[in-house]
Amino acid sequence: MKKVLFALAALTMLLCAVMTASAADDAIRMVYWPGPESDAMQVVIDYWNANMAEEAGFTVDMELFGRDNIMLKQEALMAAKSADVDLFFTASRWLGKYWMHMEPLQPYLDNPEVNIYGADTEGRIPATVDGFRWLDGTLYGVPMDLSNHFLYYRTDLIDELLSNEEWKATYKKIALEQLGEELEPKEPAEWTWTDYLAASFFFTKAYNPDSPTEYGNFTHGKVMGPTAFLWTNCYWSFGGDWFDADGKVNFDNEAARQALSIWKTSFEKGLTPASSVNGEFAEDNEAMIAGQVAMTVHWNAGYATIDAEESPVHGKIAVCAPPAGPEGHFAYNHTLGVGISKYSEHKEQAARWAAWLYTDEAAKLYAEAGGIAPSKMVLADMSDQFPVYGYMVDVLNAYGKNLPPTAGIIEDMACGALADAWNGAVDFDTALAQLQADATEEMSYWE
Amino acid sequence: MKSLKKNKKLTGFLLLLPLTIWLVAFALYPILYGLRLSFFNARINNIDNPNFIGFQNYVKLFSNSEFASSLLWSLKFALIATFIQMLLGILIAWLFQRDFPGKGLATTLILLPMVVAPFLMGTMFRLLFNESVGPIAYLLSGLTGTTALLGMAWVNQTIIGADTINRMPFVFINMYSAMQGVPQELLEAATMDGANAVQKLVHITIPTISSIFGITFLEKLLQSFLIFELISAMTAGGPGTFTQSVSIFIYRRAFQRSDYGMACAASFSLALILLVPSLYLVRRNTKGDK
Repeated sequence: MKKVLFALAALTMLLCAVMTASAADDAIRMVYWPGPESDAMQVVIDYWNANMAEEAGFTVDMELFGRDNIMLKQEALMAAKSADVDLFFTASRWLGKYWMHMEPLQPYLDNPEVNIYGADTEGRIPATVDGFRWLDGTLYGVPMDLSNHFLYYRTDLIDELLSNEEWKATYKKIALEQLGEELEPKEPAEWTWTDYLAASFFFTKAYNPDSPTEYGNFTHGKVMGPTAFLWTNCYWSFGGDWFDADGKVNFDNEAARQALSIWKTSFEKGLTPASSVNGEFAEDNEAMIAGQVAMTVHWNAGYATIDAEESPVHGKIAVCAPPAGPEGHFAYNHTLGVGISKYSEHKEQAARWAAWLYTDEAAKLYAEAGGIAPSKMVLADMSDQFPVYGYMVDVLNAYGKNLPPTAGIIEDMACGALADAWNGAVDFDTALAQLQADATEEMSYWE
Repeated sequence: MKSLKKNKKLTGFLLLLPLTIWLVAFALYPILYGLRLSFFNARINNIDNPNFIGFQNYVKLFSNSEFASSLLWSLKFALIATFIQMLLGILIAWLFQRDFPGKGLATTLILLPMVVAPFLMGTMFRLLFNESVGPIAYLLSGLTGTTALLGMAWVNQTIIGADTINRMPFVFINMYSAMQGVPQELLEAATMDGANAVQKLVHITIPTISSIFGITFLEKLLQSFLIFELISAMTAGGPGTFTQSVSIFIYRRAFQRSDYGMACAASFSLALILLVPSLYLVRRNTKGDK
């Protein structure tokens, strides 16, 4: 019996030694966000490990930390100064919270011994590269996956509205009753937010019993940063911004009240499904696919699902920039990507991999696998295969705007206060004054 | 003899040692570390070198209206959910005291939700209550007049309903097993004296199981007060902060805003708030046993 136990103990120790040795091989570890983005990244990694690893001297492993709360888990590694991973997952809007735990990338890109591919940042859309710079201009990451907002609408319904005289008359009448203006139906690309509301009233059964849809629009209301970003398109169009030119918090103003009133009208008047106060990406897709709503300001990533071949509304969906305010149209965008951990014990290898990710070769592999690499060449070349890429280029070139890297610091308090205001729990003045005070105080801890 | 006693002591000490080390490392140390952090401005940008701010986190916490409203929401939710679940749990346990066809299957079905993780339960409910495609939302619309069960008008009731499905089995199983221990002769004697079923429940069964009843009530009340997973999955505390429980408040402070100092201050304040009723009820139950 003793001999058996001894043999088992010896075997266990041997296995541990083998596993430790294999874990310590020449692999670097990168955290990524599971979903279509990681599916695309896996293709890029597989290509690297099969074709590039020998020359580079290392392979790459991807660690998926779960889509929800990925930053929570990374924060634990950052706080512990853990060397367990070599590259962190990040996003342009989060950089302000985490840059101090990441390694500046430019010195590595400038070092030909590390950047053996001669890669530079020129191939990427400049705004997406700038999204990975801290306020002093230091570059901390590689933009890998671009997201933006569109106005989605049902082409069959809008075409009918623009051609059917009876519908036009009803539209004018409802606009006059509800908004105090006799508005003419227009092409969605020319809409102001008032046109958006007028169309929403028209396509809501409670105001137009002949409406083919139950509700006019789907407005995201769930308490989460992305909901506040959707509202930000409207806020920008009225001349507001999260921070002023001096970088000071800037919420307590008239532009915010006007933008909030657009959102609140949708919830208060029932132009959006009542549950949308707790709705986000998935619920929006469901509402569009179910034919429950006629339009929505929504993420580009929803296009593949809403217009999928099996979708009942396939072929009846079009996108354009979100509606305009007095300052014009704006289309929010942000970028997901990776940056080198300050605590990595393989910084040069991580930097070589990051440099290669900047190449068009990597961007093309990523995009072909379903990711949305923010590469000028790739998005333009692949727009025949993925039409949404072409729409993104068009909309972002004309109206693209992003939030500064410090936005992530206050996004949670912003979405909480704004949501309380648009669902009517708190009046605009109270919500905005509180948000202004809280966000200003919070920013003082990050200076 | 002495050496035997000494050996016994040493053995006892050695047996306790692993658990003690475990508790110190994974319970006591984190608690003390959290308590320390509650006196610091500690965020992810200065976690290396947080600055001491004394009681400032506590002062700010108790002047924070969001914290106050989340405490109030949790209290209301705990009282209502506990009342409903205790009532239902006792009634179902009482009905299950007699035999009927399919009792085994019915018991299994009632207990099934208890073994599902609350977060998973919340995710399932989020789909089932979906306004556009949710079957439960559709079926209940005859009763509620709307499929928008996660909208402002129905979200609180929906969360209480979901929590009842998830947690009521805990009350049921405790009450059911306690009722099994009620002496049959007492019930038979009461029947002979002409007591009806409700009288026997109120005057014999409930007083006999009062100790288990008290502990179950306390456990359920604390569970409901600290509810997190179900809300996180179903509403994340929304619309706005409308269903923000105190646990969601702490979570958002710590992991959305990275304000660890304030989150620790809120956690310790909550622990102190809950300590008073917990000790009172434990003491009352202990006295009852004696």
